[in-house]
Amino acid sequence: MIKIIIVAPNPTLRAGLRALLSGRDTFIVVDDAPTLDGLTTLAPDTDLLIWALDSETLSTNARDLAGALLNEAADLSLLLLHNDPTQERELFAIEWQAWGVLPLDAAVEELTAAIYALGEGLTVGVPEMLEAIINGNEDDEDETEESKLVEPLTERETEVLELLAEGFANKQIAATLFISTHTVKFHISSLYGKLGASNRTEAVRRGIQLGLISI
Amino acid sequence: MSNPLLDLSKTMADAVQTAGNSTVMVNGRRRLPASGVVYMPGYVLTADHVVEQDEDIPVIFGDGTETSATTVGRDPGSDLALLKLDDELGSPISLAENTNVGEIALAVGRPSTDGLQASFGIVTAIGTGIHMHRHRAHHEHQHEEDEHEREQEGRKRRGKHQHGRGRWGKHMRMRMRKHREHVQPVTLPHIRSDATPYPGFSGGPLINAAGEMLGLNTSGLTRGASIALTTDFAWRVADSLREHGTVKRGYLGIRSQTVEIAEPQQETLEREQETGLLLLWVEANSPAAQGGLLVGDILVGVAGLQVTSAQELHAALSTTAVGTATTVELLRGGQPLTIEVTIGERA
Repeated sequence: MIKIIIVAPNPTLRAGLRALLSGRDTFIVVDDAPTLDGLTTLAPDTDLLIWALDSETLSTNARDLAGALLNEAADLSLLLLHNDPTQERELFAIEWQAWGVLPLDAAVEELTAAIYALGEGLTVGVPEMLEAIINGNEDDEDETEESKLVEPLTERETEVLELLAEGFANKQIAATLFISTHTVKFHISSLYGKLGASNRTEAVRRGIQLGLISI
Repeated sequence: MSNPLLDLSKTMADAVQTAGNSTVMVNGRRRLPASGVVYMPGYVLTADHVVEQDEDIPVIFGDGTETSATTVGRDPGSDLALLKLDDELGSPISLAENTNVGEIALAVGRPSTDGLQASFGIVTAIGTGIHMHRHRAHHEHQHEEDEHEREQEGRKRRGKHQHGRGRWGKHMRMRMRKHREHVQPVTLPHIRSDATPYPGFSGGPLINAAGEMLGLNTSGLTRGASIALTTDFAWRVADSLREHGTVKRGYLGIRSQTVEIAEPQQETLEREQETGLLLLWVEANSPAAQGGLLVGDILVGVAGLQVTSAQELHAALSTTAVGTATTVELLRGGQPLTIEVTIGERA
């Protein structure tokens, strides 16, 4: 018997999910609530939390509450129903027994399959959503932070970057390297491009992160 | 009959006006002017990232007085820059004596000649930006081992695959950690508030209800968010920039890359630390070389503080004086090692 709790702000959705799932004799919905803190007590042997969210972003408090559920039901798995779950990636880092994600309008067959799969400890979801969550979006700024440089810096560019990190003004850099201010600006512009930065502060920050600047 | 709401409102408006007398517009880049605060007569402290040029920077006061400024010194590491005005204008902003979580915080900016702008919130958190070690006490460790064994037994009994907590769970936690670092990598003394940071507020003050400065707002240290560097810290940097033109940071002489620390090595370290810095290069005759650091070492701590990223090392070196002998913790060949290094200066 898979013991399920349903959390969904929308009462119709909540009732609908309950109805969909009560048809099976291997599932039992033991509780439902509009929000996480609306759940009364959580039985320690609860298997699955089905949590439906609209597009509003969860507060840190809500995420902490989610994590706290594991203190009461150590084997809890999460099935998130959300149309843009990449906003809630932090939720998946919690130590659920297993986790899965489906869109809000998932069909009953998908829900059922997901519940069984989660019961087996598998990660479940619609491929595009899983990909986006696990690997990050194309628009995901985090990716560019961690990725290596597409084009390595030239030696001169590295020198300029190190001087930028020390807070040198363009004129000072020019004087230190015996080049013109014009050339300095040219190198800086190239640095911005290679580091994906839009200003000196960002260029330095990226440089430190990527280990290009000696510290 | 007094109206407490009106009183509150008037107090906040007065506070903004008071701070506004020492808040200037700094036009240091092509689009999007930003703000600055008067540090001393003739000197304005602002955010480094809003100043793209070094000379002829227009600075405009609330009463319409316009002057030009030159950068005296910049510190990209803390996103601060000090400007010297052509004319000795301005009265320094009043500084708050202390900051308390929960007190009213108003972000003040002057990004346009239309006048002061402000937003309202409270002090949400005060951050030192330092990670203390989380050592596992020995008995705790033992307890965890027993727990682990019991869990394993339980798993075998239930016959379930544990991938959820295994591969993907750990993978997601690593990604989340990196994500969090990028969202909040602030390793400097700062204040977080929920006062909305509108465009152009960087460089302006975060003030209390008396109009005294709690910190300097900047969006340059965290992607898509804004924090306020504490006045204490910002003023120290300003002092250094005024006297030396730069911030004298401790220097080791290494280049590094963030790497994961495998669980068995975390065990030998006896603490939870998921990443450290792999040394890619050690400068000849540098403090690091003289201390005996080698390429391939994984740096995990400096002066008793965890170092999990280059940013953290950079910050740790910012607060360690040149000439100080410091303990550096590393993993060499998977084994923990502690070395004493005398922090030096960049040659």
